Amino acid sequence: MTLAYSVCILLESPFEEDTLSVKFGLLALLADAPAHGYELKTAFERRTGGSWAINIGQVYTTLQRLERDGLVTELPSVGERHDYRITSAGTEALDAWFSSPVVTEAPPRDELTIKVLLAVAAGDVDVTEIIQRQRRASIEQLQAYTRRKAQADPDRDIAFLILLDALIFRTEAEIRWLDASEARISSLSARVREAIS
Amino acid sequence: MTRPIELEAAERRFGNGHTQVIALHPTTLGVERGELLAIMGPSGSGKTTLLSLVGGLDRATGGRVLVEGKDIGQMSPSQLALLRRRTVGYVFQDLNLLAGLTARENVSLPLELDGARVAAAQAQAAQALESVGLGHLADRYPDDLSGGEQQRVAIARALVGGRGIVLADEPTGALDSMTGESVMRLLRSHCDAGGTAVLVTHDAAHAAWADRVVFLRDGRVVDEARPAPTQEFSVGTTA
Repeated sequence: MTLAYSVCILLESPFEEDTLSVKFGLLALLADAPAHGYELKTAFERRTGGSWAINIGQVYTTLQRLERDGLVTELPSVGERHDYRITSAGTEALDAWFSSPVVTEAPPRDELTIKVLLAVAAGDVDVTEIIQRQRRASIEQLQAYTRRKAQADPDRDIAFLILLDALIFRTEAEIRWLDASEARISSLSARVREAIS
Repeated sequence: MTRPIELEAAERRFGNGHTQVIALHPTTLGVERGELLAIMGPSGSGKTTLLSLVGGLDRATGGRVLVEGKDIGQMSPSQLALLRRRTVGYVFQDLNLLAGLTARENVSLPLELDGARVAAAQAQAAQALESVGLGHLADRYPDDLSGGEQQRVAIARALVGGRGIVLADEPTGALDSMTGESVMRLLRSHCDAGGTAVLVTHDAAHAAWADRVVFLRDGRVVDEARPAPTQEFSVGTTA
């Protein structure tokens, strides 16, 4: 039952997704004004709600790739400063990125999904217990996010709040999926019990 | 100090013999002052039964339910009615606002039933509506209010007169996520101000406003969640 999935889960690695977000993140910042590496690092972190600390090395590697691809260009240096500017090709690439939706590949192959699928198949594992343990952990995580949300300022912390919403809704979806899995499993065991008796 | 709500092996059975159904197995559970407790579980797990026992809408068939230290199983119907008017407020999914009364009149009704003078009751109602951000809509009828506004009126009605305990059964059920969130913020601030609330919900994002989440399955408490220690990610701003 689980093997059938194995053929179609050759997805892009999350690493490549990360690289893409940083690439277009830097382009979006440079679309506002030319900037140097360290400015880009701090602005990127601020705009993404503090969710993502990128290291300065990754910023410079990304800038070099962007320059190689003609999407940014380095301005003549002023003293120690090495500012970069977006090119018209860069602006076009950024526009194309903003206007295309992000489609998550299916089927999911995160650890939790796989764990539950394997537990169902294993037969001698208490799936309901696994589900409840996960549900408790997810709710506790959700409580922690919600506390942060309750303390945030809706006017000043908009990026942070939108980030929290993303975490909250994803965790909530995970819990709904756990509920649905448990309902399916218990209705199946009820039918099995009925068939035996 | 007395806990506002205490269940001591409280249980609820229906019928007897072969047809007996146990909606709630003997359950021991305390709710602290200032606590927002959420109850989650699949349908038929006993969530609403538990809430009804605490609110005195139903009686335990075994054990005790204490509200502010008093055994409500020993109370007469009129004492129970008094408890609901003075100590415990209820918020339901279907709001039960009276269509022929304005928001203010809906909120002042429990006080008037309790013998308060109309002017005094209405002044308190206006204040309760103010506290849920609806002071300006006090003279509107329920039909002229949005779903979220109606639910806030229901919360004002549950809180009016200084009732410390709010019991809410799926109060965000029919609301969109931002409106549901505003209802949860109200319950949260009621508890932060020293009140107590018990919330029955199937919505994890709303349960997450609680200090503690209790999970019921087949009429038993099977688990409990408390907030995970907050992760350190720095608070960014757009400023």
